[in-house]
Amino acid sequence: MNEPRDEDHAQREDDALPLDPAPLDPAVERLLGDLLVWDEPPPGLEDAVVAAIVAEREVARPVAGAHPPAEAGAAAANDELAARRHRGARGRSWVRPFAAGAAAAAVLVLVVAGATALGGDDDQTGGQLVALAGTELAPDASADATVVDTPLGTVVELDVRGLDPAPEGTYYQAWLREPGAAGESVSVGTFHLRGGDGEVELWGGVSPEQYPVLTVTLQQEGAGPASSGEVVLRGEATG
Amino acid sequence: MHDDLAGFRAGDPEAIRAVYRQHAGAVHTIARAMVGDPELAADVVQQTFVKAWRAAATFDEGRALAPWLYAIARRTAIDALRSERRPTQGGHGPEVDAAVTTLSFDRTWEVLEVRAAVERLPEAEREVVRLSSLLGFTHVEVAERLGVPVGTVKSRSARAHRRLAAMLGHLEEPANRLADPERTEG
Repeated sequence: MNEPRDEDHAQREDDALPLDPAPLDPAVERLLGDLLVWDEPPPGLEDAVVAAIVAEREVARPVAGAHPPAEAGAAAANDELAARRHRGARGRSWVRPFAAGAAAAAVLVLVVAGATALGGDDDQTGGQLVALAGTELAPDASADATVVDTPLGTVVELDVRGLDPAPEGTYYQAWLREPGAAGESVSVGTFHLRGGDGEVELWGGVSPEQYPVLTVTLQQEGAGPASSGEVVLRGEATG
Repeated sequence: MHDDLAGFRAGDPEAIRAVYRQHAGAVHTIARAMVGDPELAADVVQQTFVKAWRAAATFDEGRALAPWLYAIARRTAIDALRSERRPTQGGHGPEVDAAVTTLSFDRTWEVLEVRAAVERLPEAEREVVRLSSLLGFTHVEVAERLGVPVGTVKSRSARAHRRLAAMLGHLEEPANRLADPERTEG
């Protein structure tokens, strides 16, 4: 008997030859029942990996007139696994390395720019403060955010108060939005606060000038990457 | 692949994505097999690619990239386990490290072999195998879930089993291997 040569051919044969499949070897069958065979990296990790490497590359890249960047690059490399011990394991920490790297890159770029062009004006490196208020879904919650627009994207440092830890099966996601009801939202990262209130570092690839609205939604695990629309915190950069 | 590797070394985002997409699944399998926790595993995956990028200048292009990445992933996972366990165990004894590395190696290798074979299946066959072998659905349940006739599910399953048996003959239990000496190993 000829083997099917392609999927179309195989599809045509599907109903003509409803074969009972030969059982697999028990060892292979056991392995096929192992979740590890089928488990995939979380969505968004690819972006985080790319961002972390690009940020570190930018930090390490030589800058004209500046000292050799090896030490700065090494310092900014930020061994995440060691850093977890100091920060605690709050939130999805694989979002953080890039934020740390981007923040380091931002500091380096802005410090160099400030030193060479702006005379080291600290206001240029401080970012924009955004106050977020709890919505009717979380009336006791509030947050302060520092939004820093860098050549690599936007670093958001979010200091949250009074927001309950995300229940099991859910997580919080922060977004930068365009103004207006029909404005596009771009994710800047996720967290769950199960370690309590505190500061979360996030990163997004859009400018706060175009996306000045900062929101936090409650998301369901496995429900897909789109916003749930369940906004618990909201604020807008006005400056 | 050499172009991707050159781009990866240079930190080119598209090349990083190409390398990630080719190897992230297996690296993630190693991480999950060794550390268990999904978030910690994601940390390990990220650190693996970042460390690989840092060390890419030392990588010999004549060698396969995958084993090199897997070695980095294993070392990163062990470091992660040591870091995670130290505070709760009041220090880590050498027996902890030995258990981690020895117990997980064979299983990890077998899982990687099966994963690679599954990834080579046509998508329709892969989904039938996933639903039946991982989730335990019957052919009728798989048919209902996929919206196709039961005969289609059986045919896809039969073809998938033939392909998997050919690719994974080296993992079979010894008695079954001897019983089918003409089987082609993939």
